[in-house]
Amino acid sequence: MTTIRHTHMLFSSIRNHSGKQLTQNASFSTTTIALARSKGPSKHDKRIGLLQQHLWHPLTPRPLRLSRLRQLRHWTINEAWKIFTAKRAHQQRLELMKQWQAMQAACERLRVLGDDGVVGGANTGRLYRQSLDKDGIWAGAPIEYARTLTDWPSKKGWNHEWKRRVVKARS
Amino acid sequence: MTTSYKYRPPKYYRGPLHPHQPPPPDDISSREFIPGPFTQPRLLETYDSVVASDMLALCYTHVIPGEGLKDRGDRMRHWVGDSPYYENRPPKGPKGGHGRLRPIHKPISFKNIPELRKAVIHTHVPDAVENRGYLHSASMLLQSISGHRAEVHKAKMSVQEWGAKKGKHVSLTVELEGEDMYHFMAKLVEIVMPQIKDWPGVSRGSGDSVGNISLGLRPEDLTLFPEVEVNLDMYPPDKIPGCHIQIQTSAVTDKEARLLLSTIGVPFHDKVKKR
Repeated sequence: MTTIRHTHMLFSSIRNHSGKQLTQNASFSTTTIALARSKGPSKHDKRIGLLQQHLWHPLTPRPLRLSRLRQLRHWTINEAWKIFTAKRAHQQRLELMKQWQAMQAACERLRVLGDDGVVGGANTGRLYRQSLDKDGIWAGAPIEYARTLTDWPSKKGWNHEWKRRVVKARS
Repeated sequence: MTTSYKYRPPKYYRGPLHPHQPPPPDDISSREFIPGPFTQPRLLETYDSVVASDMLALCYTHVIPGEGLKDRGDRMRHWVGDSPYYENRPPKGPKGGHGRLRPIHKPISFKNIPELRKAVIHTHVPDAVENRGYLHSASMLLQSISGHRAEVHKAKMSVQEWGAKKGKHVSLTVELEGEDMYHFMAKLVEIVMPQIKDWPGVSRGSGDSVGNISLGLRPEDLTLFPEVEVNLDMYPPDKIPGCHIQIQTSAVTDKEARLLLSTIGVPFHDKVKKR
C-alpha cells in the first residue's frame, strides 16, 4: 500500500485554491474592484483538486527486491503454499467426484428398475424419468438459501428488550 | 558498492528469442509479481463448501454409460465443389448468430460446475469531455469500491448528438478477478443490493446468452457501498456516476449463470418494470 509521507504537499494546493490567499489588499492595487468582481467565484471544486492529487501522487511502491536468503525463504514458503492449495483443491474435487459418481450410480440403477422393484419390470424407469425432471429448478434458489456462511445475525434474533445498565454516580 | 551478485530481472520483455528472459510472474523477482492472497473470501468459502455440491446436484444430467453424448458432427460449413479455389479454403462458420461459433454446452459434471470468473465494472462519463473533474471523481469512486485503479478509455468516434468527440477520455473500466472479485461481489450482494429502494432485482432477460450477466447501478445506489458511504463528502454530489457491472461466469448458458448467481444471493425478477 502507498502511504502519503509529505502531508504539506496535500494541503499546499488547498491553500492556493482557497479564496483568502488570492485576495489582494485594495490600497496597493491599481485595478478597479468592479473588474475583479465581474468574474465571480472560482468554478474549481476543491474536492476535485484533492481527488486528482490522491489519484496521481507519485509515491508508488517500487518493485520488491529481497536479499538472497530472504528471497530463498520467500520462495520456500510460496512453494509450500502452492502445494497446500493444490492439495486442498484436489480434495474438494475428489469430494465432488464422489458425489457425482453416487448420483450417476443411483440414476443408472433407477433407469433399469421397474415399479415392482425388478430389473426390467413393469413401467421401467419411471423413477428415473421423475428424478431427471428439472421443473422449477431454473427459477433460482430461494433467497433464504443464498446467505454466505457468517456468525451473524444470531439464531435468537435481535434482543429489543436490552437496555444499557444504569450506573449510579457516586455522590 | 556491493560486492555480492544480485539478480535483477530485465526491465522489458524483448521477445522469446532474447537470451535475457524475465522470470515467471509468480517469482518474487518478477516485475509482474502480485503478492497475495491475503484473505480467504467468505463468499468463496461458502461456494466451496455449500454452493458447488448443490449446483452439481441441481444441474445433474444423466449420461448413460457406454452410449456417450450425441455426436453433433462438424459445425463448420466446408467449401464443396469443383472450383480449384475451394481447396485449402478455411471453412465458414455456422448459419445464423453472425457466423460465430457458440461454446458447446456439455452436461454439468464435477469438472465443470459453474463458478464466478470475473466482474467488470464500467462507467460511461459523457460530461468528461467538457470537465475532467467528472472523470476524476468517477475514477476515484471506482477505485474505492473495487480496490483497483480504473482504466480510462477514449471515444472511438465523434457523434454530434451525444457530444462525443473522438480521442477524448469518456469511460472507465475495472476488471476484478479472484480474491478482489469475491470481496466485491460479497459487498454488492450483502450490503448494496438489500438497501436499494424499490428495486425488483436483476432482469431475467439480462445476459449475453453465453453465461455472462450484466446489471446497472444508479448513482444513488453506488453511494451505498461502504467505502463511498463512509466518505461521501469527498465526492461532489453532481459528479457521482452510475455504472454497469458485468458478472462473467464459467457457465456457457444464461440459465445456469442465473442459477449460480441466485444461489449466491442476486435477486432476479421476471417482469420488465420501468424504474
